Amino acid sequence: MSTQWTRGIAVAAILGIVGGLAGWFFFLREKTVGIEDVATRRGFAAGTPSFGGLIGSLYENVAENLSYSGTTTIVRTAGAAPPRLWRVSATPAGSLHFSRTRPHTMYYTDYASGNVFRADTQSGEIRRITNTLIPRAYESVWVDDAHVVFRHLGDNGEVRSFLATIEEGATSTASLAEARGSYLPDNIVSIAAHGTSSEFFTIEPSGGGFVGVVHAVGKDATKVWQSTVGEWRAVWEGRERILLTQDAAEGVVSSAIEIHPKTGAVRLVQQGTPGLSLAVNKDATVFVYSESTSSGLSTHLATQNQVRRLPFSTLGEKCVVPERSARVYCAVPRELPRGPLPDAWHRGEVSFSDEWWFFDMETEDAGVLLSPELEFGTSVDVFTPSLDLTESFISFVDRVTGTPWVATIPQ
Amino acid sequence: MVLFPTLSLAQETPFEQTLASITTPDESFEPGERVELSLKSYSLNLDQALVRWSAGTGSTTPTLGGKTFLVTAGPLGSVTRVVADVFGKDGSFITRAEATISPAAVDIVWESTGYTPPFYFGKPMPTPGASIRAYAVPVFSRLDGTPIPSEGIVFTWALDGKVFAASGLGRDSIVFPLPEFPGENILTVDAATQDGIVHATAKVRLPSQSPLLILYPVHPLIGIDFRNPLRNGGFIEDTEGTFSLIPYFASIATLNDPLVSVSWSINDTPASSHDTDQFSITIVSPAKKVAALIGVSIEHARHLLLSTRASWKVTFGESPSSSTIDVFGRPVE
Repeated sequence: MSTQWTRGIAVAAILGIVGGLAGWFFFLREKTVGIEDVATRRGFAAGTPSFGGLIGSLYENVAENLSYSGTTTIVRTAGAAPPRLWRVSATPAGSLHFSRTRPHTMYYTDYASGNVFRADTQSGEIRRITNTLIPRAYESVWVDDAHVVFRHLGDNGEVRSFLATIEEGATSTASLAEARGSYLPDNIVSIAAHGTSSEFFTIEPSGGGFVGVVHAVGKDATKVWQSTVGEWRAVWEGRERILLTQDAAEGVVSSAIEIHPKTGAVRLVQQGTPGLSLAVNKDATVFVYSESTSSGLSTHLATQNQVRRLPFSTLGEKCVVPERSARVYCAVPRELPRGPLPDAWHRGEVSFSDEWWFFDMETEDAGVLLSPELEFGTSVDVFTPSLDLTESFISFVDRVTGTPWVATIPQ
Repeated sequence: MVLFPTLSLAQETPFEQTLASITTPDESFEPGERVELSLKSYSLNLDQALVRWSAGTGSTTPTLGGKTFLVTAGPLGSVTRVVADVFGKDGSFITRAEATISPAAVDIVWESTGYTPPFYFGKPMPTPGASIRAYAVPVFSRLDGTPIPSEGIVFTWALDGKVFAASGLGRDSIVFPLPEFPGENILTVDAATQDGIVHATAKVRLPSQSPLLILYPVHPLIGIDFRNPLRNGGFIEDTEGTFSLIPYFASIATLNDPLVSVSWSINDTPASSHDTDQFSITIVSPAKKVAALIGVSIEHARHLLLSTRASWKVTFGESPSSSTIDVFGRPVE
C-alpha cells in the first residue's frame, strides 16, 4: 500500500513538473513574440536607410563629376568643355555665386557638408576649396569671393548664420582651406550682399519688429532702417539702393521698396501687384515682374517709360536682367501647374519644367534660347538664377533636386 | 515705372479764399494723367470774367468764362503749382486763386505672424488667432518737392471701419490681432499732413484661411526636404521613413508652442511621434509594397478654429512601375 502511494506521488510530481515546465515554455515563447513585434515596429529589425539611388555618397558624386566619361550631355566629359546646359554637381548645392572679379568662375557650397567648390564655366574644371564640415547649409550667401554666410538650423530650430572667411589656395595642389569665422545674430530673415565690396545687408528681428543692418567684414555693423514687417527678400548686388520685395502669395497684393544703405531712406518701387515676383537690373531701371491671381500668371517688363506684357508667362524671379545687353532672359515653364503661384512652388507642392527664353527690349523679338527637355532630355525647375560677369553664363539651382547648373548664352 | 497714386490738391491761399477757389473731383489719378480743375466763386460771376490759367511755366490767354482747366499730373513726388488769375472784361485784375497739385500715394505693406518654416519665400497668410503687422509707405512731397517723412504725417488705421487707438502722428506701423471670427477684414490707412493739404488713402483686404498641413521627408544628409513634400498616392522606396509636419500659417511662434497638440495615426490606428518632437514621426513598414494611410491632426488650446486635419496615402518599399524614381521623386536618368 505504501509502495503504491509513493509511486503515485512520484508520478504526480513528475507530471506536475513537466506541466509546469511546459507552461513556462509557452509563456516565454509568447512574450518573446510580443517583444519581437514591438522591436520590429520600432524599427530595430530594419536596416539603416541606404539613401542610395541617384544621389549616393558625397564622395562618389564628386568623383563622378570629376572623372565621368559617359555620354549624358548635361554632364561634362573629362577633358572637354562643359556642355551648353551643364549640371555642375549631382549633389544639392546651398547656393551659387559668380565671382565679380574673376571671369568664368563660379563658387558653390555643398548642401550636405558645407564644403565649398569652385567651377570654371569655360573649362569645366571643378576644385574643392574647403573641407570644413557645416552640415545642412540650407542657404549660403556670398559676400564676396572670400567670404560666405552659411545658413543652417540650430538645435532649437533657430536660423543660424555663420560668416566664414575662405582663404583659397594659390596652386592647384594647395591644401584645402578652412572656413573660419563667427556667427551673426540668430534668426536673420534675409541677407543681401553688395557683391563687389565686403558689405552685406541683413534684416534681423529686434524689439518686436525688424531692423535693416549694413555689415562690412571686419567693421562694425550699422542699423539703417527699421520696420514692423519683416518678410522681405533683399537684393543688393552692387546697386545704389537695396531692393526689398515682399514674400508673395497668389492674389495677395505685394510691394517692393528700395532702401538707401547709408540713410535708410525708403522709396516705393512697385505696389499693389498681386503675387508679385520680380527681377531687376543693377541700376533699377528695368524690371521684370509677374502678377499672379486665380485667373492666371502674367509677366511684364517695366522701364521708366512704359510697361509691356511679355509673350510668355513665368515668375519674375526666374528671370535675369543684364546690365549691357538689350535682352532679358527668363526661365519659362513649358506648362503651368495647378496651384497658387508662387507660394505653392515655394512650398514644393508644384514644380516646373523650364525653357530658357530671351526677350529683346529694342526689337521686341522673343524666342527659346535653350530647351532642357527637348535638347537634353532632362527637366529643370530654375531657382535663383544669376548672370556671370561677362553675361555669357546663367547659373541656377534646380528647385526639385537642389543641384547646381550653368546654362551658356549663345553670343 | 507706372504707379497709381492718389492725387491730392492743396488748398487755395487765404487772400483769395473769399473770392475764388480751385477745386478738383476727388478721385485717384495716374502720374501723367490729365486732371480737370474748376474755378468756383460765391461772390463773382465767373461767366462774365476773363480767366487766365497758369501751370508750371506755361499759361493760357485770358478766356471769358474759362472756369475749367486741364493740367497734366506730374510724376509721383512732383509738385505742380496752378494759378488762376481773374480779370474783369476791361482787363482789370480782380483776384487770384492758387492750387498745388502734388501726387501723393500711400501703400500698405502687411504680413501675418502665422508660422512659416525657415527659408520659406512665400507670404505668411492670416489664420484665426493670428496677428497682423502692417506698415504704411507714404509718398508725400512738400511744395518745394522735398519728401515729407513719416514723422510728419498723421496715419489713421482702421479695420472694417473701426479706427485703431494706435493711429496718430508718425504712427506708420501697427500690430493687431485678427478677430477670431473675422469679418471682411478690410484694413485701411488714411495718411495726411497735419494741415491736411496732402493726403492719400490705401486699403487692403486681409484674407483668412485655415492652416495648411504639409508633410516633408527627412533625409539623414539634407534634413527636412522642403523641396519635395509627401504627396497623396506617393511612393517611398525604403520601407522606413521619417517625416516632419509643417503647419503653414498656424498661429504659433515656433513648433515648440506648448498650447499645440499633434495627433498621428497610421491606418486609423493611433501612432506615436518622436519623444521630443511631436511634429515628427518615423514609420517602419513590415514589408515592401505596403500602403499606409498617414493621418495627422493639430489642435490649439486657445484658438479652437485652428484645428486642422490631413492625411496622405503612401506606399512604402516601392517605386512606380513606369519608371525608377530617385529619392527626390524624379525619374532617374
